[in-house]
Amino acid sequence: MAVVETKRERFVAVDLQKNEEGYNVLQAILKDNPGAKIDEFPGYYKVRHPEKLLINRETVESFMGRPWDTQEFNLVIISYAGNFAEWDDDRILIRWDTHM
Amino acid sequence: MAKKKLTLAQKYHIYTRGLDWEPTYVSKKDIYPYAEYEGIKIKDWNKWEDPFRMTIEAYWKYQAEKDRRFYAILDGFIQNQGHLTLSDARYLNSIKLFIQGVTPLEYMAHRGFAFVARHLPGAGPRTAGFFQSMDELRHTQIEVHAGSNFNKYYDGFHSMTHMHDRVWYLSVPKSYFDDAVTAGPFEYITAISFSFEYALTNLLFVPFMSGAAYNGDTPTMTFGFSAQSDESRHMTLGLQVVKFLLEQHEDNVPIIQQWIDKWWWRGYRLTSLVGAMMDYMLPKRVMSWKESFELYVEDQIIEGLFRDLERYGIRPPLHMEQSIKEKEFLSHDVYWILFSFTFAAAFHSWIPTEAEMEWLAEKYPRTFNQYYRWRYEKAKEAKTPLPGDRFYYIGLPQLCQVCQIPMGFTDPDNPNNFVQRYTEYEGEIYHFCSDGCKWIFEREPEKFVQAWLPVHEIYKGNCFAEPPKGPEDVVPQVLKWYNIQTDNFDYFVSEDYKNWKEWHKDMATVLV
Repeated sequence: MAVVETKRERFVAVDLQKNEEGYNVLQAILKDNPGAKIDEFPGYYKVRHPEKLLINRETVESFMGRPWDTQEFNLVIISYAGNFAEWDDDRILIRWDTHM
Repeated sequence: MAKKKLTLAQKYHIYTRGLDWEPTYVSKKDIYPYAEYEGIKIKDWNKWEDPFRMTIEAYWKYQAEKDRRFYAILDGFIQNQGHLTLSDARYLNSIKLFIQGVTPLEYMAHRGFAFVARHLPGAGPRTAGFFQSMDELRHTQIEVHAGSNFNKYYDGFHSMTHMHDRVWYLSVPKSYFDDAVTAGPFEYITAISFSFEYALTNLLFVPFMSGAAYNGDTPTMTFGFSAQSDESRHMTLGLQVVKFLLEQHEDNVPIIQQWIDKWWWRGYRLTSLVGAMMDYMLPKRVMSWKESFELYVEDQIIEGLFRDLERYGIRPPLHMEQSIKEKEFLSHDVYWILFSFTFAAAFHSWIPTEAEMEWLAEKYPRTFNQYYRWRYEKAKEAKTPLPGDRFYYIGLPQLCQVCQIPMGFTDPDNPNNFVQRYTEYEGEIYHFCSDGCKWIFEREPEKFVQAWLPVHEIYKGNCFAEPPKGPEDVVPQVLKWYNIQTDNFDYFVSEDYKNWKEWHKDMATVLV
C-alpha cells in the first residue's frame, strides 16, 4: 500500500518571466528582501520568501536604468502565492494575512 | 504650479466607483435580478477593494503591450519555421489537447465574466469582471493564433470548437464549464476565480508552459505566461471576492464552504488531464505532476491560502486529502485512459520509451514500476486489429456521471482496484469515479442527471454522421461525426510522424 507523503512549507512567492525586465525586477527583489530564495525553471524564475516580498519602485528603477511604473509589474509577473497587501505608486507588498 | 498627478489609489476610485451611480427610476432588484437567489448576503459593496487598482486606462496600455510582445514572438517563430526546432513532434499532442480542451473554455470564461460584469451589484467587482471578460477573449484569440500556425503542418488542430462540443474526452472540460456558467453569479465567481484560478490554473499555466519553453515552443510559452499574468489579476479577484463575501455576513460562510468543496474536486479532476500531458506527452520534462502538485497545491494553497482562510471559519476542501493520496497515481491513470482510447481521439499517444519509463519510475518510485509499467509491456504484445503495433481498448468505457472521465482511477488505498461508486436517484443508477464526484452529484442530483455523456449518447444513436451499416461501421461513423480524420491512433503510424521524419531526414539528432 502506498503511503501518503507530504512536503509542506509556508511561503509567499512570485513567478517572474525570464527576460530582461523580469531579471531586473528579480534583482530588485533580492536586494530588498534578504532571505529570498530563487528557483530557476525554463522560461521563469520563482522567487520565494517565508514571510513577505516587497517590490520597491526606486530599487527596480536603479536596475532598469529608467523610470518604472509599479503597474509595469503586470508585464513580468506570471503568478504568485500570497496576497497583494499593498500596491501603490511606490511599492508592492505581497504577504499572507495570517502570520504564523 | 502644475497640478499634482493623481495617485494610483485616487485614480482607481475615480475610474471605478466614481463612474457608478445610484438608479432613480428603476429598482436595484430589477437591475440585478440574480443577486439574491443564491442566499448570499451583502451589507456594503463599497468594502470591496481591488488590490491591483486596475483602471481602464492602465488596462488598455498594459494589455496592448502584452499582445505586442506575443505577436512579435509568434511572427518570429513562424518566419523562422520554428515548428521544425521543437524537441519532437510528439510534443504537439499535448498542445492539441490544450487547443481542443482549454481554448474553448477561455471563450466560455469570457462569456461568464461578461455575466458577472453585468450582474454583480458592486461597481468594484463589476469593473474587475469586465476586465477579466476581455482578458479571456484575448486568451482565446492568442491561443487560436498560436495553434493556427501548427494547423498548417500537423493533424488535430483543424476543428477545435466542433470537437469541443462532441468528442468524448472534451466533454470533461466542456461539462465543467457548463456547470459553472449555469450557476448563479456568486457560485460562478467562487468556482472559476477562486477555486480554479487561484488554486489550480498555476498547474496548467506555469509548470506546463515552462515545459513548452523547454520543448522549443516559444509561442505557447508566451501565450501561457501572457495569459497567466492576467491570471494573477484573476486570482486576486477570486481571493478578494471570497474574503469579501465571508466578511459581509456569517450566513455566507457555509454556502462558500460548499462551493469550495464542490469546485475544488471539479477543477482537480479537470486538471488531471494536465497531469497526463506533463508526465507523458512532453518529450523533455521540467517537473512531474507530483512535484508541481506539491509546490503549487500543497505548499501554496494548503499551507498558504487555506491558513489565511481559517479565521473566517473556512477549512480546506472536503476531498483535498484524496487528491494528495492520488498524486502518485493520477497522471498514470489518465494517460492510460487516453492511450487506450486513442483510436477515437484527435491526438496521438504512444508507449513511453524505455528512458521515459525510467524517468517515470524515478519520479514515482512507489507506483510506476509497481502498477503501470507492466501495462505498457503488455500493450506491446496484446495487439488489436487497428493501425499501430499495440493494444487499444476496443469498446466504450463507463463514464463518471459528474466529471465525465472514464472510470479508471486507481484506489490509492488498494492500488489493484479501480474506484467504482454509484447511487440511486429516482429509480436510476448513476456511476462515479470517486467519492468526490458522488458527493457533488448527491448535492445537486437534479442538475447532474441532465449530463450529456458521450458514451451514452453514442449508444442512444445520437453521434453518427450516417446510420452505421453494421457493428464494424459504428466507430467510423462516430469519428466522422467528430470530424476526426487522420488525427487518431498511435503516433508512430501517424502523418505527423511521417512528415516529421521527412522534414528531418538529414538531421541526426531527432528521435526516429
